[in-house]
Amino acid sequence: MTVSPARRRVALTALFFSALSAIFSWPLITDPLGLQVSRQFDLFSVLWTQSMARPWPGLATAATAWPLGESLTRADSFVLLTLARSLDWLDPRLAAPICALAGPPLSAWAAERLARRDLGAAWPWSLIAGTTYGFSGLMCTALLEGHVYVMLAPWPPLMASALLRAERGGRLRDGLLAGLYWALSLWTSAYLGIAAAALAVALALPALLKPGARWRALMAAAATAAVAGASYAALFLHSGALERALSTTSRQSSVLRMSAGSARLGGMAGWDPTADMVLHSITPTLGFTALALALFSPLLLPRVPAWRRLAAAGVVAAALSLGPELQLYHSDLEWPWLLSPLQGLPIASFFRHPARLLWVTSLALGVGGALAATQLARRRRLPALALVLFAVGDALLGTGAPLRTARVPITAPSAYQAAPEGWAVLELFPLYEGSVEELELYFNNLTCAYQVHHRRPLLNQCLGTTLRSGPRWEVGSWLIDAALRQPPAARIPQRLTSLGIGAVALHPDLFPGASRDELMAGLSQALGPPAAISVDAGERVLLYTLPVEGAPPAAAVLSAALDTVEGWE
Amino acid sequence: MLKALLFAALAAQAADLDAPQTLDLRIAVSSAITYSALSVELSRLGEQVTLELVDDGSLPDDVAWDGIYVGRLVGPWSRYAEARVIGRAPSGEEELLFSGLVRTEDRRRVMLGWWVKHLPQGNRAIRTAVAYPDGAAGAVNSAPMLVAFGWGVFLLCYVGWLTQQTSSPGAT
Repeated sequence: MTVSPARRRVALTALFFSALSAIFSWPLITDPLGLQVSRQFDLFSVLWTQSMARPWPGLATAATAWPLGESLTRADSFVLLTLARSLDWLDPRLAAPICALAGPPLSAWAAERLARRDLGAAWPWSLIAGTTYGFSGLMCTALLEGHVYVMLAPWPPLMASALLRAERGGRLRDGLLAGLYWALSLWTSAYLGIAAAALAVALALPALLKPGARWRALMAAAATAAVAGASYAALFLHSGALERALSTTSRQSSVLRMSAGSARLGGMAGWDPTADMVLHSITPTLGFTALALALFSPLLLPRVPAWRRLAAAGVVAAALSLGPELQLYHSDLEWPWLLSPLQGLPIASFFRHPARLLWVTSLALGVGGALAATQLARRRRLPALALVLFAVGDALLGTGAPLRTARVPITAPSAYQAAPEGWAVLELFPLYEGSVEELELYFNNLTCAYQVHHRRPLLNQCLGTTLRSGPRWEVGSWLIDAALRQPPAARIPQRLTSLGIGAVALHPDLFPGASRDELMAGLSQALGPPAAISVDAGERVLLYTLPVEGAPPAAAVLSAALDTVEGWE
Repeated sequence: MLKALLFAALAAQAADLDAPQTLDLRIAVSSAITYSALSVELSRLGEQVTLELVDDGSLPDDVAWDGIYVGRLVGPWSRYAEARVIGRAPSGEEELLFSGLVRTEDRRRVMLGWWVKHLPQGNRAIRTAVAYPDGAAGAVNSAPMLVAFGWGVFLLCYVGWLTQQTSSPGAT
């Protein structure tokens, strides 16, 4: 049996990108359902979100923010929800590892295809496009911060491919496909949608301004995108005020947050170990192989108009990704930059990660690198082949992905099993403020992920990033205060059960020594000794149960009771 | 061959996850500061452990008298620990240098680093990703970045050379 060169090329490309993906996220492939490799804590909310895909298409759950419930329309990724829902027959927990393991090779394949089929790069140099885009610093950041659904990002290069074909051939089908791929970008992640929109404008606008432009196909793309965008906006507005709350209100803090989510000049070049000590592990390295090739592209690619447009989009995206202040490594230069006019505007609260615009830059660099390497290979084939290996070096060592991944078991403390079923669990951890306020998000997300195992309702808000608000914050703050009084406040069990709470889960080792002992004593005095104590799954949990019978009261009664918490003593 | 390697890697990974968690503590002390002893109190999983850190080369990976105090705790996996770093002056007086929660989620091995330096409010231990002697910490932290820039310069030269070769008339 003979295998055609085209099939052999496809098989080798798939093998190449799959092997790279296994190393990139190592050791995830060894235990995709029992292990997570993220350094930060957003994967916990992803684990929760995928487990909540079951009520879809209702897109709401009563199991969190108890008794108010939460709308899943703020889940950021409808693609993740749909993937988890469609895997429900098998195991919805597969959605996140599929995104992390299959996302990069699929994204790489789409970029490689764009460079090869639509812009003329030759295989194997076209692999540079896939490696640079599919295994970029942003991909590594997504893996380490835990937003693994963003790793399923083949849509922008597929959109670019369809747009170029629509421009050249004027086929309606290509225009519709371009619009669909933009919609999939948006439904994968709002930031990916913004990046894809910038890419679409850069590619389509000059094409529309040319004489003899193929308006019909490009208008079809725009119309499809408009419908998708409108449906997304409608869902977002439908999510309710609780989920739409601005994360920050003051000008100062919106500047700081947008700046923290922006790229640093140094971070585009490489990573340093301190990056993983804070929040999102932002290290959007671009890959020097593609960058060096792209820098020589004016000499090597003088007449490729589509590449010029792509390059322009990449440069603009890179400039904008630096955010409101130009910084070298951390907070050093603080020079006002392009997005500084956005500071203080409410929109700044919803655009806190300008670094994510670098998806466009990675794609542009990758495609440009593949085209330039193709030119070089015409005369110097073997030395040009080394460029593919260098790009692999950028993907693995330049991003540092396999050196930076963690090994965190996906599990939950056994104490939760003692909580009465159907009644809510109140998670009790300290009230973090100031420089350590992100710990509130960490423990909130972690305890949301525990719910996947114990299945009891929670007072936590498991979507969004709004700090110091929501039922858990409100009732938890009151309970800590009430239990620490001497003697503890009266009627604590009755008040908690009036909210449908059947158990309180205390994480005592999070509290500093003195207050920990006082709190444990106060809770034991008010609620009786803990019904269960577990020291497993990486922490100690004390579970206090409340005297409940039957099912909790109706949601309306519970919501009315929640309104009275502010007045409780 | 490939299959055997993959199975070996998977088996090693599974064994790795069953193994106890290792916490490596490293504290760099600025040369202007002198302590007769440094200790770390770790409260985790309901137990409190006090580790006396050493700088006499008696522990693996420790270089004697280099200003880096090291300690190692091997035990069950914990996602976090409440840590207190305490320095004992030659006079015997104790000084609290750090108090706070440290995340130790990695199931296998976690490095907890601090750098003790003098600040206006007194001596403080600041969390760092790596702990190296005075002046070297910044350079070691920046090492991957410096390597990246070196790599970038090499690639610019390489691609420049290839471009020049390609555009020269005698190129084949």
